[in-house]
Amino acid sequence: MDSKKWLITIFIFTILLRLILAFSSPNFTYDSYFHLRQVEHIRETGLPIYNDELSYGGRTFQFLPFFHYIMAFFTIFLPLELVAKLIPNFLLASLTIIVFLISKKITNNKTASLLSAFIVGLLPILYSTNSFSTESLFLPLAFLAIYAFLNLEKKRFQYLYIITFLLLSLTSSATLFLLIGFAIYLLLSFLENKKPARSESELMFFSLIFFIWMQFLFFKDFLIIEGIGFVWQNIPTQIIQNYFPNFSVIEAIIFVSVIPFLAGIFVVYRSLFQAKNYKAFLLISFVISTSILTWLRLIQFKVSLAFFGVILAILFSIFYEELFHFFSRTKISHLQRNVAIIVASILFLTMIFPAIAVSNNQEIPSNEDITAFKWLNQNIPENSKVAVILDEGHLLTYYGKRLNVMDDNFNLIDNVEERFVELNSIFTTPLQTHAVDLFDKYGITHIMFSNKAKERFEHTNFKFITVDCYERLYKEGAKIYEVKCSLIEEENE
Amino acid sequence: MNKYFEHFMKYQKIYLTLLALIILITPTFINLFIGKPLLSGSESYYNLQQAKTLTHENFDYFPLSLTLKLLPADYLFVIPLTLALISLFLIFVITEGTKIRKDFKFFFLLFVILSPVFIYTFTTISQNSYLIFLIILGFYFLTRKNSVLRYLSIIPFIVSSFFDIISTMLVILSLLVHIYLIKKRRKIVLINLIFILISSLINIIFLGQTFFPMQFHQQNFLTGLLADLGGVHGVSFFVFLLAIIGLTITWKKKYFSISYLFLLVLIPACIFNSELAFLVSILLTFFATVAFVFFLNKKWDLENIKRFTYFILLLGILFSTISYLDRFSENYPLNGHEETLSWISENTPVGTIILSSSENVHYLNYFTDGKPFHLLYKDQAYTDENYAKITTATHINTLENLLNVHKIELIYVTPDMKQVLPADYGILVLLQNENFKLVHSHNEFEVWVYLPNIV
Repeated sequence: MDSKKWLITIFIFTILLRLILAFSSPNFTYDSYFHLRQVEHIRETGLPIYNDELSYGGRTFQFLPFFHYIMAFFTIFLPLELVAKLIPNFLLASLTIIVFLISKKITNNKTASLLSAFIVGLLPILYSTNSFSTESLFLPLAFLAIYAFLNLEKKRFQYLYIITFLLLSLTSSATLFLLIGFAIYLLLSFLENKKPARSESELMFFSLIFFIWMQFLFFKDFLIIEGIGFVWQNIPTQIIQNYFPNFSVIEAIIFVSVIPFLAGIFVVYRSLFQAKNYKAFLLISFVISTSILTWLRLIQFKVSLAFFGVILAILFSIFYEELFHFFSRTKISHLQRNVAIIVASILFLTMIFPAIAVSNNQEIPSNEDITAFKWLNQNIPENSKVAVILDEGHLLTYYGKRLNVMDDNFNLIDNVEERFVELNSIFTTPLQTHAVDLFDKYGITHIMFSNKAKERFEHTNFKFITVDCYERLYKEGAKIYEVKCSLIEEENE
Repeated sequence: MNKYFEHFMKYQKIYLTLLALIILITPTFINLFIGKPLLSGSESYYNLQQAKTLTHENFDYFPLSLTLKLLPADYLFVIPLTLALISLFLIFVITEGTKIRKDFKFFFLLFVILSPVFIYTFTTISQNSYLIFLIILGFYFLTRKNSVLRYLSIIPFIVSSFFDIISTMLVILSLLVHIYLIKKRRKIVLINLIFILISSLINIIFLGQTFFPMQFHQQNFLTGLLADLGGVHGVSFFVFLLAIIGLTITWKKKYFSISYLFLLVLIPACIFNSELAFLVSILLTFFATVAFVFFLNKKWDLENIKRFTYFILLLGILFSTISYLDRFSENYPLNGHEETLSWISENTPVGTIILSSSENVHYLNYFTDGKPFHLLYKDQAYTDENYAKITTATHINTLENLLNVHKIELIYVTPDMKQVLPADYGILVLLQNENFKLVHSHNEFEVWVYLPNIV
């Protein structure tokens, strides 16, 4: 079989595996519901929800909308929930082809490139198969831009780079990692007395200017109000660990898999200190750049690790090429032909189980909870505000179509830490007066204790429930109450 | 070079002057349209108040005091506007016949005119607008062929030493750079330097001149420099970015090394006093122009990308200007200030002590005959500490004691206070007590009177 057929086989295998895992649960990860709601709104009105009347009881929020528009386009032909399962998995599976092309450009070795594609097809960190988020578009676009950048000597790739970069700038602010990577690449080249091609420098400068302009266009108001602190997204310190956990080598090894990780370290060492492999410099620069941005808490740990994993997969091709040459110089050179099969088998065995495990351990709401949220939509007044846990904020606005107290879009929210602590205390306090005080403060009319809340707080219901103050409206699995007491009303009386 | 570009280069005097006029008149029109006082900024009202109460200690306000007698305060916006236009004209005259490239001059002035810092400085009655004007005027006289005119440069340079020590240092530095670069007219420059030093010594010894200018805005270094992050004296982020690139370009060129002297003085000074961000911004614009012109004159492999990049750069810089002009309507004083402060002026006795935020001090001082709490004591730390105690008091007795101690009779609540002060405790809650009475309000502005003997 030639490399093209192998590549198609890897791609089909990846997409099938991803879709099987994705369809094994009908629901999506918690954060996906924000994007689903946006796509749905774009499909209906042509515009994203920037003035959200439900989030935080009404707020303004700005984000880059390209991903949502693309998905909204597909919803013309398919139902939204099917699009949300199919397209992100298809996009992430397409990384196999992009990685193959990049690896081939770097090594000019088809077998090594196929192995890289195979690794990326099974990369555990990418196996959030039920996640409907911008990362599924961002990652393929980013690597397509890198591929185009590596081929800048051809004019069509210059155009490809420009187009992909424009789309990236409209997809995610994490595009910043490319720019930081370019800066590190320039620095490394300078240290090695290698002058980058003029067209490379020109495109880097263009990218920088365009990216900044785009961010200013979209986030102008946020920047003026929040200043430089805007880039840290106003995330409450209590949950910052979820977004930017401290770097753990063991965790990283599990998510990017042992063999590519070890091979990557070897290649980075060889490229920087021995072989001076300039082609690898650019990729290494991106690794350094993502590490810096994660350390500065500018991009989420998960995104950074996904990037790291894909780059390691590419670097594996260099490792394989060196391994192959090494074998040819040993007495077991007759086994050379089987090296690829052995390596692929080892990779498959070490990666398939973590990939499936990651997919199975995704944070997905239960069907019971989803039914409860759908019930809210039909059975409580439209302007009701429901207290649900932070993770379920988007679920409430998507299915329940009711006002939430909080969700994970923290930018421009005043006293976000206080709000987070107080929201949690509703689920933990045994004091009725404290709870009612908070209901008055946030205008909460209903409270819901879902299966997820049970897991999170390790008890089965609110601790302050009394018959006279709370009427239970929903009794299947999740508990939904209407709040009937108010400290303010009592004062007026 | 394309024909449009050449046209702009050729008629840059006309276009840049027109642009400056439009940009500087726009905020006044915005203020007029929404019914705000035409003059904005706390500094304007501080200076007007100083001009109103002329003594031997602030005799340098005499020209403004005289103007104030001739023109109503609202029309004083013409002063900074005139200073800007004259400064611009003088720059054209000074640079004529010099080796400064036309494109460099054009883009430097374009970036300066489009910068929020220029708009702020030349639409308010500010020290910086005078300082810049005087320095430019000084250099104009200094570079004339006529020796009498050259000696006239002593006057603006001496006047420029009346502001503060750091400004005087910069004037001296500018003259030293002139000697180093031009190597002509050394005698007159030296005479200027001697006069400035004498004047400066007199100012320090007899008039107690301060090292830094008076602060009207509290902003951190980076925010202060970047208008896109809300900086009052800032530049566009693109100018900032270009300035960094410009610094790397000039690093290798000996001719520019002298400009680093200014950076060395200004950046540390700016960290201590955010008002100096104005001068840092001018310097950043200079480095940004170096980078801009450098890339513009360089041949690019990807010509289309070059055009597109430059288009975005100019759009980005323009975007900051428009965004700043858009925010200008939010600058204090608002029409609510004028209405409520006039009410206070008409309805309260002279010398009434008024509590309000530090942002309102100079407006209170100018528009009313009362005494702002923030100007009661010379010890700023003591004032700030007591203001915090008063505004965050949790018990009515504590608040009353503090108000009695400081003899505060009036509390002036503005929207900024409602945003900053706690809503669920402190003065905003305690004002609902029967010992306070809301005597006047307009939009979000409230005047509360303290009635200590009611209970």
